[in-house]
Amino acid sequence: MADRFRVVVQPLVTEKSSASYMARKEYTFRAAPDATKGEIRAAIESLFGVHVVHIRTLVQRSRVKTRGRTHGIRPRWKKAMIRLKDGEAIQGVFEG
Amino acid sequence: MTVATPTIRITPTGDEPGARSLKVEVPPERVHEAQAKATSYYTRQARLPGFRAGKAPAELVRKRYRDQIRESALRELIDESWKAALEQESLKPLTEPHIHHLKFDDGAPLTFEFHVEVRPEITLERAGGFTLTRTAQPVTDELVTTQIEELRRQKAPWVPAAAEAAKPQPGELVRLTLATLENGEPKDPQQHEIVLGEGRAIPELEEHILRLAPGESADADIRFPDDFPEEAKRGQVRSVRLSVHEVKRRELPELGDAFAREIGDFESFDDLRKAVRQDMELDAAREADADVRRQVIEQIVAANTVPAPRSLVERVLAAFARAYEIPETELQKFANEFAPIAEAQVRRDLVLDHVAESNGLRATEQEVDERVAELAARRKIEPGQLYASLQKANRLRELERTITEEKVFAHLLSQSTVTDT
Repeated sequence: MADRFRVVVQPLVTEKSSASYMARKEYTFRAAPDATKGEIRAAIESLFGVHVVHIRTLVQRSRVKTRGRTHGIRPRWKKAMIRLKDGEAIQGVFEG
Repeated sequence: MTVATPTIRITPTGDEPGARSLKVEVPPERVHEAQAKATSYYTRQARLPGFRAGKAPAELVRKRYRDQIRESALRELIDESWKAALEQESLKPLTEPHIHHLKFDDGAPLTFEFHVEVRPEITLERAGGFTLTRTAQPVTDELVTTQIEELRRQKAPWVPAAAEAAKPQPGELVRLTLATLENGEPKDPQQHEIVLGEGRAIPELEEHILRLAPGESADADIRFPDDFPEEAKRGQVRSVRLSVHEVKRRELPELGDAFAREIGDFESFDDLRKAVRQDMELDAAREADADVRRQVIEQIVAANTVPAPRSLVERVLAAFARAYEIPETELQKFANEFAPIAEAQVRRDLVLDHVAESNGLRATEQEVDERVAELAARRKIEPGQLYASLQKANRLRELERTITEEKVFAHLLSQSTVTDT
């Protein structure tokens, strides 16, 4: 199994992800761009001791960012939205 | 006695002269309300990554700004409690309150204690019927003459001494060079002008100067006296070389109309004498009045129980120490020596405040205005200009206090017998 800390980079806490959590109890994570849904599911279950019942992913395309005369590239990355088994929660993201 | 408000309970726990302690209990509902208000404020202000301003969920804001929210709620509750305490206990605080034994746990009531210094309430059983003596020092012709002689000395110009080679005398001004001797060689010579016999130089040094005529030099070993102001130098011996260059004496001006005109706006010497006498009589009257005032306060304090709370005494001592620029190392010694004076001052102020308060003798705005106008007329300036400068220098309160004290003393003295001697 790929390194689970590399697969799941960090939870995403933004206005949009908070709204998803409020509406559907859906957690959003930033994941490695080459990670598969299976790897992400396994990593989250192993890291947080929960059961993932639904997973959706998308790849955010890389973007060119300009600051003054300097150009840089923000790499592409994968966003994973998961739902947990009823009654389970990941502490420290939106609760606790 | 327990005073209950709809939300905050304030219970007096200790009462000593000059200080009050109050236990405060804020119910959890009110604490929650204050925290919710603080959270709402931070939610509106917070700028968190991933959220537009003001759009972050309350839970997240609470987590990120936990300490600030706690502090803000605590400050609001303490302010509210203090206002309630002031109102319900009719406190007259001298300082901001101190807070002790603070307990602020989630879901529990907020409890703490206020400790505040207050002006103690006093009662005067007896404030009149005393016998006081007013002794004004008579201003004799001799005293006036002495005063004029002093003026004469101050106005006297320095002129070269009569005999050029004569040794200086006490009271004469000597221009000299003083150099420290190191291995017999003079080092760092410095010029000085010293009036002999006025205690400005070390006595031993003056003795050596008295033996030298202008143009003469001498080497001497000078010992710093045991009461020399610089402690480190006391008892030290320095070899010095003294060279006297010039000796001058005071040329006292002739006493006459010309001298009077030089001193000030006087037509003749008689006018000057009259003015000096008048000043001295006014001074003597002021001193006599101050003494009567001191007596009446002393007798009131002796006839009644007037406390001198430690906190107030310490404030007065601190003010004295600031005024006299006492170094920190000397503070304890200074406090011990000045404690009786500070206590007397505190008792005096308490008595005066009590009499002013209970008899409605505080200076009114109109009285302050009138006094400002009077002072302005004396100085020949516009009252508005004087008022502004007093206000700028923060001295209006001082003036107000002076007027109040004058009224209080007039009231107190009218109730006692003052005998002129």
